[in-house]
Amino acid sequence: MTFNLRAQRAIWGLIFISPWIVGTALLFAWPIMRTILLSFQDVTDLMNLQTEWVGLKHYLEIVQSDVDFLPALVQTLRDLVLNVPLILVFSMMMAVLLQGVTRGQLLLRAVFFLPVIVASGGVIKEVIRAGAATDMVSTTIQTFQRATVASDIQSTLVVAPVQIIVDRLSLIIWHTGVQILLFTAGLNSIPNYLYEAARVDGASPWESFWKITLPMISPVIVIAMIYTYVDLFSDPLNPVVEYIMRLTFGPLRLGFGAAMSVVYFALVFLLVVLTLRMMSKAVFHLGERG
Amino acid sequence: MTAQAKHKQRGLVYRDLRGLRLKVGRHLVTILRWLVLLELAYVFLFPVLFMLSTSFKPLIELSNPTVRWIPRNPTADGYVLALEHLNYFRSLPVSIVTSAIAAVGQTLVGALVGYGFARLPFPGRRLLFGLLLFTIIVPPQMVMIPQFMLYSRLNWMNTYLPLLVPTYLGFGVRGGILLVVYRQFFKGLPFELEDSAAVDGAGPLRIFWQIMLPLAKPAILVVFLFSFVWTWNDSLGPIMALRNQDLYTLPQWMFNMTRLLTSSSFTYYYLGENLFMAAVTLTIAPLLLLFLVTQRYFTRSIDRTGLVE
Repeated sequence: MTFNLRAQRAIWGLIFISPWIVGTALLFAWPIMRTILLSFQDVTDLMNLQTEWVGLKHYLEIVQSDVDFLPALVQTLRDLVLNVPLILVFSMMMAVLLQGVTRGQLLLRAVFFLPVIVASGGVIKEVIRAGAATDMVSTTIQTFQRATVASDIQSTLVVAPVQIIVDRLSLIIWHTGVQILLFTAGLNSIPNYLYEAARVDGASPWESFWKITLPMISPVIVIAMIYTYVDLFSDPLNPVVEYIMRLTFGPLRLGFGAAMSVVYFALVFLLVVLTLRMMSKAVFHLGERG
Repeated sequence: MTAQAKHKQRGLVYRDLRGLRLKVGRHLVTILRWLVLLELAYVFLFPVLFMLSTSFKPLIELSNPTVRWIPRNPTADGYVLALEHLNYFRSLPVSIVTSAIAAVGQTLVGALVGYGFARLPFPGRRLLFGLLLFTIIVPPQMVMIPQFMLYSRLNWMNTYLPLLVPTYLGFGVRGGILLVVYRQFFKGLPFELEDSAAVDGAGPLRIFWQIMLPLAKPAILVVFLFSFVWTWNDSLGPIMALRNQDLYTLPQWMFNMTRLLTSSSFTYYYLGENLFMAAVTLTIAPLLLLFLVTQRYFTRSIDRTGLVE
């Protein structure tokens, strides 16, 4: 009887996920193999998709003769490493700030989520080009420049780092909406009695942040981190993706484009796995979790 | 006074001072918190406000630095031109219908798959879930070309099928993330409901349809909204699939317009800023409307999706 029930549920489980299995086979597994295969091939006839085997030619070209791909790759990976923690810290700070607001919290959360609605696509490109971001950024920089020139400090020394941070600030705005939501949800799920107990024992808000809040939302940090990675590395505005798309669709070098995306993905995958490994040691789990 | 009493008194004074300091400190923290939040809200609202304000500016005021936020002579010229350039009355219904069909597919199929992963133990579940996570971190650009090779073999080019069918297989724009949202939500629901229904003889499909799905409203809302917005803003799929201008989605027309105008002289581009901003406003207006209508439920729903478990 129990065995039958379990077998029945297993069968139903497979039926429930069957659309996804079909999707994975057709739209993921096959395409990813084809891309890897394509990276060792040249397309000789685009209409009938005739290909010929060229071995490691494209990979050698990436390493030896292509001058643009590797710098773009390095820049993208460096940006990832810099921006992901920045976005995470910023959105967590926003969430903590929002947490103390009793009236108007929902409204403020809606405001902070607005960029996700407005700009998850190419629309952002237009807005930025028209100066919505640079306008704000350049006024800030001008203010700093004026301040530094007035006080006769070597202006470039001070301005350069500020400029970098301010430049990133505009990027952060466009990429924190979902993370702020995740963190606020995470903070709301921390039981209040933990804070009360800590207060009774004389802990300051500062201490309870480090000893309660941070460990309790550490699983959320992992989720937000993965989301941030995905959001950033598939962003059509990042240099590698832009370069790959340009070469794939401009001169229609499908094989070379495939080789570049294989290299790109391998590195991103490595990066994600490495950070996950580092994080998983620090993540705290309260009680039992499935 | 004994030394002990003195000590006690000093302690009392200290406590009073400490209480006062805490009270002042708390108010200060509140004020600071609001200042920072309002400042940040301004920063976040800036692009949207900028967009709205610029779209109503007449050409002359675009280059006038004394006109900052409120145009002196607001005009709808930009909008009139943008409506025409975007082919709005044709492309708006196209975008609404395709995004809606895609979002419905992602919402329904996603619930099925997410429930399967959360609650129905089948052999290889952990492995397949790992595969699901893997599909999330693979950039869409990597699998796109073979996907479209497949679509062209099926004669789906210049139809909306490449944008719609994948969502019914759980593979819409960022579909994997939405499947995980559902899975986390269903995992957080108590087992007792299913157990008692199973004792009464209900099969998994009936349990899912009559008990679990009605409970999943927060997750449904979140997934639907995300799926709608992401499909709407997606440029990759439509650009690959739709070559025929009659089929273009709204964002595609916007790209078209940008390409057209930026390829001509720089001055025209600069002067056309109000046109651009009007076009952007028109493109995202339906999304803004949808978000404004649902945001109250939406922000609350996020808390209850158990996304953060």
